[in-house]
Amino acid sequence: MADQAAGFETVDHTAEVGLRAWGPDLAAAFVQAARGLFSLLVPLERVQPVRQREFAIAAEDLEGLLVAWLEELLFVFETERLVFADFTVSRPSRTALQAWAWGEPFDPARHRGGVAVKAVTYHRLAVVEGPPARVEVILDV
Amino acid sequence: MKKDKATRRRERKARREAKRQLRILERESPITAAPASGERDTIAAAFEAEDTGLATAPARSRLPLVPAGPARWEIPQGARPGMRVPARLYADQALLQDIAEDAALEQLANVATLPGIVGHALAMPDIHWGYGFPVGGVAATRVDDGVISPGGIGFDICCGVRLLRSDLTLAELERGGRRERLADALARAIPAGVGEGGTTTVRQLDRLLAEGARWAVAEGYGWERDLECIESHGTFPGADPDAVSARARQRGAGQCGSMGGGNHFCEVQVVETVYEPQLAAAMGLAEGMVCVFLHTGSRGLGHQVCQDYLALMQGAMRRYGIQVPDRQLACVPVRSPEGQRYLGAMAAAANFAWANRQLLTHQVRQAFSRVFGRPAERLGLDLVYDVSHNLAKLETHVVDGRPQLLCVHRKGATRAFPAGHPELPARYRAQDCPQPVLIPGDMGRYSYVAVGTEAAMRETFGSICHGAGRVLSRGEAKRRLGTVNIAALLAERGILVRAGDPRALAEEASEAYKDVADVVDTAERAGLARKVARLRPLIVVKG
Repeated sequence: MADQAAGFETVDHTAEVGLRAWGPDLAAAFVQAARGLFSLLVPLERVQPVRQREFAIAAEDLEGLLVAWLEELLFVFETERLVFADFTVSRPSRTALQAWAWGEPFDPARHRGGVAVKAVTYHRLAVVEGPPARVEVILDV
Repeated sequence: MKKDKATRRRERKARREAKRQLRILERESPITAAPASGERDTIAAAFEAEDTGLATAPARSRLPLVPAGPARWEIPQGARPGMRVPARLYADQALLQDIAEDAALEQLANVATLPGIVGHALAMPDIHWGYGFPVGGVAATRVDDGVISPGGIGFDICCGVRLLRSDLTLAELERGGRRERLADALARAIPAGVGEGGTTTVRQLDRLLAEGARWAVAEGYGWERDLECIESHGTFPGADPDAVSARARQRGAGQCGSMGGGNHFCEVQVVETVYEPQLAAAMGLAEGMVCVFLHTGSRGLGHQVCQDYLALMQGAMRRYGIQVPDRQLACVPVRSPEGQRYLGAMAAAANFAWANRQLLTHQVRQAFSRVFGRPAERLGLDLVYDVSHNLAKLETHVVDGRPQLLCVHRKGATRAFPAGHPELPARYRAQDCPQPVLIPGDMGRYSYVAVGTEAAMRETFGSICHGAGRVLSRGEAKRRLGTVNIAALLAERGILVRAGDPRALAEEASEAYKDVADVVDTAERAGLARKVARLRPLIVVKG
């Protein structure tokens, strides 16, 4: 996926999906993780950036921050039916980050084809600051 | 037992703290109460060794497996540090191959470290790797001094199966293109799939969370007599709607009366084989009968409840001095304020699931009614049973010769109570019929109705398997079968598929699952289960 410097990939587990994302720094890795999450839900290339959303996430530690970030995105997807394909994450500290996401309302005609991601798990959670930064998380599907 | 002032004060303080933590979770910027990154205990270190997360695929199991009887294997208590009881796996040689391929057995050994666990950490023949707890596992802990762990129930709280029987035969279904029309009617009636909401927005969520299926019936969804044939009568005692966070409610509000995606389904099936005529008759089943299988859970609400309490417990665990080898095994004492609050929230989520299945049942009956031109009552579309496979129940079981109150975690395992058990519907007790267990296979193959045995009551806290279990990941299944027209292949075999996303069918194809017949046969060989009937799919409605 994407170029070598920043990207994401999904890793097969029997009943769950593993998501691995990387980038030159944590912010980039968190961006790729968000893209990776939505790539499971909808075909990314079909998402138009017509709406912008701002996020402020806080957690007790870096790993919790990754979980909280992805959880919030999943929550907004489920409750507001918004899908995002582009993100900017401002330099995240160990316990907080600000982010902007661009996307549009979920359209069954264009956005079908995804996996129902139910939750972000703590299993085998990993956040490596690097640089380069690397994050790994397992999603319940 | 009377408590002194100091104890009551401590408990009040702990309850306030638990409430405070929950409010923190509900704020706009969610804060997870997770332990610091660097914290690893010696048990975790021993388990994870050179593991660097996803970088390495789960290694082939190196745990010792000692034969312990027909289709039984044990992992001795001493096999890994921290195990408080041995682990037991029900599987035959053929299934063992698949099971040892992923880290399910390591996970089983992890479960055996939980404080207060009694008997064995148990694994059913359909066991596979999950997050924290393996799927297809049973773990019972002492209520007095043991723990409750949300991972032992799963994210989809009260995911379960419901079976409706009918007075219709296959011949009647085939007449006049009814099968096609029924497939279309069901697909229209049942919202399913990613991003899909439900048929009902619930303004009075509190009542639904408190009363479950009883709320649904009171609102006109289904029949009063349905309730008797739902586990716990469709209302989990002790449900605490206040313990369900605002986020969970927001996720659930638009989803009641919807099926979801993944392996959830609604299937019209025909009874192909009857193994136990007397039991089948007691359940209202007969060969050639058209039936409906429904498989779904508590949707986003349950997922959020699990998420919320895993986070809460990771923080609370430290205060109770509990260490676990895997973060996903977060737990607290059952009797702690956090434990009681989780149980209340879990019960509310279970009620949501039962209300959900009740609403869907109503939709199914209406679809049948429209196609066959008669009210559902005159089609005999009665509920055989509704039972979950992701739930914790407080049950009394005999351990070491005496009855003990236990918290029985079943994740991907089904409760299977024997004949005469007080929990069973009166009409089953009257006919000496054990609790029906509904075991769905994959969409191309059969499903089973079975019952548990007295041996299951003794050995597995009255539990047996829940389904086929995956063998291929979704990605792998898509790679191998993505270009195959699964719907067409199934149609050739007489199975009509209505899927919201036909491309996702590859993930649910038979090749991606174990053969449920192997799973059920193994359970039978182990003396845990008896097959009552086998059903073949005719119509499959999926998200």
